[in-house]
Amino acid sequence: MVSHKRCFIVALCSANEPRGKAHARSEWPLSQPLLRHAIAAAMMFLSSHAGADQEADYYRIISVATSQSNSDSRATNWRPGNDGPVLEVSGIAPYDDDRIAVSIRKGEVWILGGVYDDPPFQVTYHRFASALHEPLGLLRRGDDLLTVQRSELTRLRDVDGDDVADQYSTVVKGWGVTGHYHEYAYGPKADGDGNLWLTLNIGMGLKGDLLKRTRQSSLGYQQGLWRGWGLKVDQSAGGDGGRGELVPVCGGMRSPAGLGANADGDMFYTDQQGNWVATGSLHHMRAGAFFHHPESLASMDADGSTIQGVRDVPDGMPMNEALKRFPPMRPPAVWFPYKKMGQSATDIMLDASGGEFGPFAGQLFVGEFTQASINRVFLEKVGGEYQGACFPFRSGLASAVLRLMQGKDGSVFVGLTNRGWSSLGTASYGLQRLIWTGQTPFEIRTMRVRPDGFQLTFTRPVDPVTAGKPASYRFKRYTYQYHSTYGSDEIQPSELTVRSAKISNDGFTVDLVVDGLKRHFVHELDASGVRDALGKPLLHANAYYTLNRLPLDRGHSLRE
Amino acid sequence: MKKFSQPESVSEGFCEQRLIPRLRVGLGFSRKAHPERLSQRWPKRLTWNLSSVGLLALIMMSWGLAEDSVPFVSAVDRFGRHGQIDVVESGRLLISELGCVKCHASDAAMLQPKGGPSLIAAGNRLDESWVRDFIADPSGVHPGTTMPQVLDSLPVTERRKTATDIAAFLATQRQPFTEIKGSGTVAVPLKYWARGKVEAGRNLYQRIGCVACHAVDERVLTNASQRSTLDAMLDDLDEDEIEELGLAGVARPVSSVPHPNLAAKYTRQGLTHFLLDPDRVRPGGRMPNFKLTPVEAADLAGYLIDLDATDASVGRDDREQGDALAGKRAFQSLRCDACHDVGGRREGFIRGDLPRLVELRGQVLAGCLQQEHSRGPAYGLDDFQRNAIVAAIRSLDSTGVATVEQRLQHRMMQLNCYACHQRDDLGGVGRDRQAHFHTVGNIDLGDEGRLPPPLSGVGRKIRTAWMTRVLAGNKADIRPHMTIRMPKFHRVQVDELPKWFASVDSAVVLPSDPKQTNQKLVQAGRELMDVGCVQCHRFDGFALPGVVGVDLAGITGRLNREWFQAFLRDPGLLKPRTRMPNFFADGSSQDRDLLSGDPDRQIDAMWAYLSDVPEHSLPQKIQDSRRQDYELKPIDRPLLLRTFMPVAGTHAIAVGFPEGVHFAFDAERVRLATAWRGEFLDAQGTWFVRFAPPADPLGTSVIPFPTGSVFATASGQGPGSDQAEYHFDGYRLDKSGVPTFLYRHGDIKIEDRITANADGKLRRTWRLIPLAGKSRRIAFAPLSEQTCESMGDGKYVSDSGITALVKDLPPRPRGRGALVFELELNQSLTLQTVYTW
Repeated sequence: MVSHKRCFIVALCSANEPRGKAHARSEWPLSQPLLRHAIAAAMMFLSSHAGADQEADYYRIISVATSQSNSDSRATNWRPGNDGPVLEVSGIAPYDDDRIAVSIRKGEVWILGGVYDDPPFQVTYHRFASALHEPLGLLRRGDDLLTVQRSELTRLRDVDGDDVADQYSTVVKGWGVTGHYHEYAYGPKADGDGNLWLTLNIGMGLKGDLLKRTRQSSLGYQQGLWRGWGLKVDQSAGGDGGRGELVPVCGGMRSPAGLGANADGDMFYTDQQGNWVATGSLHHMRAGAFFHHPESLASMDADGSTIQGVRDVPDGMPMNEALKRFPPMRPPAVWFPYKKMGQSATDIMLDASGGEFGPFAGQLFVGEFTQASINRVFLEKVGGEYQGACFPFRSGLASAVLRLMQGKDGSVFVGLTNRGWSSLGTASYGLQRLIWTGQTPFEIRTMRVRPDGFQLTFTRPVDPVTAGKPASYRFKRYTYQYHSTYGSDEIQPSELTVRSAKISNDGFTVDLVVDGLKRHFVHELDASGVRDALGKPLLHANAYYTLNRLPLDRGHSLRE
Repeated sequence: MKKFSQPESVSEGFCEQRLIPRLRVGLGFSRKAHPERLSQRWPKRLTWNLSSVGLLALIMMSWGLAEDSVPFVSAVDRFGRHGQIDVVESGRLLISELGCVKCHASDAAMLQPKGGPSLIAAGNRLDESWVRDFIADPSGVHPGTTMPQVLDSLPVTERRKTATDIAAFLATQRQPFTEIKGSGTVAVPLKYWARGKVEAGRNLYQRIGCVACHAVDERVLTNASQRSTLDAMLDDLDEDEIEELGLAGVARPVSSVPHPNLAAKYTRQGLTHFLLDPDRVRPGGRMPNFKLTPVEAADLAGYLIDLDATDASVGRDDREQGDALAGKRAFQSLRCDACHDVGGRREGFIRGDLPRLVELRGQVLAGCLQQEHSRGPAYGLDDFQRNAIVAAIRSLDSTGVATVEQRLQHRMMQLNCYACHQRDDLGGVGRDRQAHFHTVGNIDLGDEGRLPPPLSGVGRKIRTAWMTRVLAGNKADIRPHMTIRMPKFHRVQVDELPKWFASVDSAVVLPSDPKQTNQKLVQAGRELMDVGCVQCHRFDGFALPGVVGVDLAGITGRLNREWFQAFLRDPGLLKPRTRMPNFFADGSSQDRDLLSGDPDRQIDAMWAYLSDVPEHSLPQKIQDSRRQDYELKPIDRPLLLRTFMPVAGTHAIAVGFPEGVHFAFDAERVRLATAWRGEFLDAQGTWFVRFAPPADPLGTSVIPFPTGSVFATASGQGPGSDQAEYHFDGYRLDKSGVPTFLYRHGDIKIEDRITANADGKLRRTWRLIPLAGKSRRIAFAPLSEQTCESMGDGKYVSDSGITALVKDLPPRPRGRGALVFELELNQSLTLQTVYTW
């Protein structure tokens, strides 16, 4: 089972697949590219002339490797499929021009070749590193790969050039690890200045010996050091191993399974619904901010803490009220309303392709575990703070989406694994790739708040009749309860009235005047009445804007 | 009141004689076909071969001429019409399924009505036009429905208007759909009901068991190789031979439970919610709950609606404006509320104004039973059904209280358990449907691995508490290798089944076992598992490669011990055609030595072992196989595993050597934490178990190392007291895969390399590199703080039993004390110690 070095090749389309189930399986069971493209073109033609548009018309999913396990994703004695590396992908990074590296939950890093082929008919596998403790991220830096294991941030270096790591250097460690399974550690990701970041899960229901490795704060919470915190690494001191210092930045996290920087280099993380966390959320990590989970305050009194002086944690009140009573608490930049926008947000990926991945360059894409899909986020700064809207983007991945990485051609690699929870899809784990077909879907590209409403921009010019009609847009708003129980319903819901819809000359922008905007409420838009110039409806008609701040006038600075 | 005429004797050749008021031609996919009614025309010999499916489709088409107006009650159709159950029982089934007692009261338990669907949320669930058409002509719109024609009493001119009004009234019966709760394990995408995938739904329909009752989609190809030996035998027999062998019931095709055009009837959302929770709408629970996820229900609904959407009648917009208020009045005056719940107070229905059922004994056919229907709801009964009902009513005075056996069979027939399960001579998946039942991955496990288990003697076999869980769908699925699902049933309908089974099948409950403490017995049982059980069964999720089968963990909570004993003594006796071998043929054991070869004691031992798996350790062969997958075996180079360990802590790095000596380094406290010999580690918990259990050393001679520090600056405190100054920097692997741990102690860089010697020792080499140029004194304590005995020649034995051979440093004189060397460090320095224990 465990040979130290393993390298084999799997052919997809050859009649004699060498190892049982193909590692590489594609939506395209044909090997001849011409025929394939002809069929693709025909399908595109058919789909554009018959029936409603599909996500697949615009973003194609290719399976690089997906595998079945015979076990249920929650089985105690879960077993992988009998077909090679267990690609429960937990991190993805470029390796060289043609190859990528993936970390897998089992504790290894593999270099995969042939992943850009379409279909990937000959994927190669080569083990780069092993004996890592559930690494949950992978980042390329110079010639090295960086990964966060349960107990440390590690730099993997191949010194002798044989594509096998021979140095496993500790960059930082020192956060609390009680041994509880839920204490996942994620990262690293780099911000605009090159600083490395990582996030740490809260332990759940710690008891017995696990408590010996915790600290207790004046508030009575008991957790390992920096559990529920986002930290960055200060590498200014240097050192021959690339060692750094752990710098705690912000707290209040529950299960921060994804992190990533936006185009301006600011760092964000996603959280997942649970106790204290109403629904999935996206947060801007910055010094001194507290997000929601108070057990992270076990480290409030620790050296380096950026949050001090919390004496009382409010429990059981609407979000806006809780924000007033809990000074360090900051609202999320984006809420992902439960079920509507997924059930378990994961990785954050900036589309830095400059358009190779479609019309959303500069926006963020967020993985979704339970629903095996990917969502999209548009952010703006209002009064110096980030807020914005989320939109459904692509569903139908083969398993839970844990990791996203943009490849050299703008396409996006999607790392999949659903063990321990469960998800939609047909596979237990694997790697897929999402490719823009070159067709522009009709979507709401951006959604900005205005003093009196919202401004939408679209990816294609709108039909002036439907898009100019206020009745084509329906708004409602709601907020959440801040409390120690699991998740929150949408509370204080109300319908809003759209007064007017004004279309710009180029047909790409619509200004909506909407009554009743309210701070700290999600503003849910259903624009299913809108058509484009050809009479087609939106591919996704819903958008969810998290309004924390209202601009005073139209002069506030907007940034994408 | 008119007198009933004397019932005629039950006619065997009913279908030849019957008037056929409405003929329908069945299509390839027809839920309207009742092929067995034409069994006289059954081909002399059916040749089942590769094209059997196509052949079947042809046969179904040629048989598709059937009369639709009669209500369809599965067991009556399948067993009653063929003399497999007596006519009185057929009558009782019809009475309960048609709801006779709703008007003609009776206290007889077996006659209690299934009740019609609740119409409380009909407005959201059903299409108003369809409701109108259905009320106007129930059996025309839904062939085989048990809903009677209730408008016959109205003048013909009023019927359509009344149907329109009632439909308008029901359209006002609205209630929000249940909100489905999402969770980390239940995905509920936005408007999931609108996103059903036809192909996925078709797959579910064919695989999870829908086709046990409902029509097979003949477009789906089945694996023709999945045929039972019985099937093969039947192919070679002609009809007379089949009859003679008593196999007619088995050989006969089973007609499908019909449903109407679902695309016309339901909204997608309505059908999806119905499939998710049928009990909510159907108090009778005849349609069970298949434990679908929201997305599965949407897929299934999408498929079913797509299937019917081609019908020209679907989607036509011919809604007429009905008068809801008039509809409400008609709903009450026509006694619709006898069977259907609607919102608001029930009024107008008084059951007392009609004769009780028992009062109808001996009367002539009249009212709703009359052939030329005169008054009351019209059920469209045929002669057989009419006669059966009359026979059942007449038996009301003669038969005493129904026996448990009768009630059990009756309930199983009502719920159509027989569609899947054979019990004694009745039922089981219809022969024409069996090809759609599979083992996951099409592994050959025989019929036991793909068909629902027979229920003959099941009350003797299954403990009542377990059967309750099975029927309630409470985490009781033990056959993940089957594509079919055991659905869960309405509690009210199945509450009594477990104890009825136990009573009818004479379950013998042996005294409950005390917690098994006889280790010898448990060990013997464990050994016996390897004789055969492991070849086909799983144990706590583990199995030999390629083996799929029922997991024996937990079996003692599922089975009665008495049955287990009898079954092991002779499996074929209790379960004909089972693949379970007889391990005690002729009453003697395969293993003549174990427990003196006494079969009873060996069976007791197996039971004792199985009472607590995996606490009693997995069977040896399973353990060996599991090791193939998960045990780390350093063969030609060292292996590492970073994990949680009991002694080495949450930052443990375990290193295993081909020499069979292993250690774990604690990267948190930066120390050699423990060492052992023999086998290295099992990685399963670290690799694949969500709860991240600590990894225990597998081998022997596990020794903890002293917890204190090896180094100290001599000027400071003594060794073992200044952990805080260590900083772990990782490790590097050399060409042979041996790690060198890198760390700092104050301003000294340390490279710590530990290797295994063939003689079971660990050789540890420290290389100390002072970072700053200055010279300093350090303390070196290879056994840390422990007191030890100096044995001479540089050999020291600690109180905990570790022997350290310190190389290249002046040996200490013999005697006891802490082993501390003070050294001057001004350039790189290498220190070496060999540990043994």
